[in-house]
Amino acid sequence: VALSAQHVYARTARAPFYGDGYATGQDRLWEAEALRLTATGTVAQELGPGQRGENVQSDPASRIYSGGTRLRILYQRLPAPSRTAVQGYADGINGWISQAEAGGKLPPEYAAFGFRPWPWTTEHVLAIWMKVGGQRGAFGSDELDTLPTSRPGRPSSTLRSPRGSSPIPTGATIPVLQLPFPARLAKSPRNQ
Amino acid sequence: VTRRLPLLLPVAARARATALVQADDHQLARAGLALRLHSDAIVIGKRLSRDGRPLLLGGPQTGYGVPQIWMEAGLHGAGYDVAGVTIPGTVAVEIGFGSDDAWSVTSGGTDNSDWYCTWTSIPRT
Repeated sequence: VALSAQHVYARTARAPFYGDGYATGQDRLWEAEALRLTATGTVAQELGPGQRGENVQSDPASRIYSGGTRLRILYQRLPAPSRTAVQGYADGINGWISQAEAGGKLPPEYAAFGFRPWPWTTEHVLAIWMKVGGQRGAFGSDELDTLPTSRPGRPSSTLRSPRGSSPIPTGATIPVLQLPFPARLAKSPRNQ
Repeated sequence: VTRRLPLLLPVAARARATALVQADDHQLARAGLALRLHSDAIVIGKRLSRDGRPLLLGGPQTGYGVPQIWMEAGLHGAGYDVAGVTIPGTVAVEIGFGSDDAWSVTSGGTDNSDWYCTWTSIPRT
């Protein structure tokens, strides 16, 4: 746990972001992992289906809009300095993960859920960016929800159903991340 | 029993934080300062600030979380000199300031597409 803000001082273009990724791994690896699982639609794969299958229901949406191919293309189209930053950041987290695995310093949640962190890729960095952006600021384009009430020749947005009556309220189409608390961690013999 | 404490403490702290935040939200809502959705940002020009420099107040209003979504960081060197907050797992200082500028984010409340409903008649062949 960091007691103050991390500051990275570096000389090469890649190094500030490597340091940022490394320090993030040190302080917030499980939070970053939870975001990565959510953003890549792999929550059910690693944490299980959830009590009411909610992970199974939420994963496909993330896979559709942040699929690997799309993110690879997106990465390739970034300006060179941005690619350096994204790659450096991923390398930095991986640097910490390697060190943590060797030194037994991984967050205990990994053992509790029974998986190891796979390497951080540039696609993961972009997927989290897009997912969090969507959670915090995705609005509009819900006309399809109100399409049955629309009339020909007029944009359905002018005929939007009364506030609150839409099955998917504007701005709430993407569930906000709930950081998973591993039940198995509390039950493991080590903690009895 | 002693080993159980480290696990119970975060849970208790989280419950307490949640209760405090909810109470805080309620108070703010009564005062007309509800936090739900949308953001604000205020820029004060250099003519109006005491030291002659413009000021930025960013209010992204992302709510509270445990752990908090934001993580403070500063990146210095190789042409970068910024400090602010980042999101764990992804790169970039989303809200912050450099040596000559500052930036914030607001909710992306833009409706970028419109769907139209129209009737078509398919000729019978």
